[in-house]
Amino acid sequence: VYSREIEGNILNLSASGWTYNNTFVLFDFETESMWYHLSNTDGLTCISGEYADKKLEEFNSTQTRWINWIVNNPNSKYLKYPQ
Amino acid sequence: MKDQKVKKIIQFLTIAILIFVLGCEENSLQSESQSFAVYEDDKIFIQDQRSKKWDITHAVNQYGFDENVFRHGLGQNAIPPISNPEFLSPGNTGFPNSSDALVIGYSSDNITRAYALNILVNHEITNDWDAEVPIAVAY
Repeated sequence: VYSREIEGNILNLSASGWTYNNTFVLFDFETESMWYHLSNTDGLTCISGEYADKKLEEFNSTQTRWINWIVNNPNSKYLKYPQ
Repeated sequence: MKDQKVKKIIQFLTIAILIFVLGCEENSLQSESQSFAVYEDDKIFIQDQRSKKWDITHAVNQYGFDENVFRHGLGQNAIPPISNPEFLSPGNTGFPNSSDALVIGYSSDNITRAYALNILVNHEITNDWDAEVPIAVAY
């Protein structure tokens, strides 16, 4: 999970259709900058475009099974399958 | 009897080896023909299957990316993000009571949400909000 706010601007992120070393390369619709999770670096780094070298902060998240998650987070909501 | 068995095993092995060799050849052919690089002036681009050119000069010069390692190039609309996510609460129809599905769990002072990987995989990104903070959930 990453922030998508940079220098006071809100970005809408998406897959760019590219992968690099089996990792998705992301881009933002606003500037079409390219974003990538560099190994050994937290967050998403802008590797190309208007925000070159800037970073989108990473927030803590957990990859787990739903049954384990809901036991520890009984009030959790669940992403609805998009229409 | 024994001879027949040996013959069968040899037949099986021959077919298995053939499939393996063909598989390898296909892979190597694929990776050889997979460069999307385009060079113009001093700039390096990768051109996707929708003919859009992405300037990756900075990625190459600053971060050591190799223009020949980029793959797929499906185009920027191929994997649309989820932009107005909706959520099920406990008690809602469709809320999973027991499921061993893999999820990305996110919890803060404001929200506690789970994003199932089998949904994320089709969209790669969910553009969401944690109260006033815009967040992106990526798989």
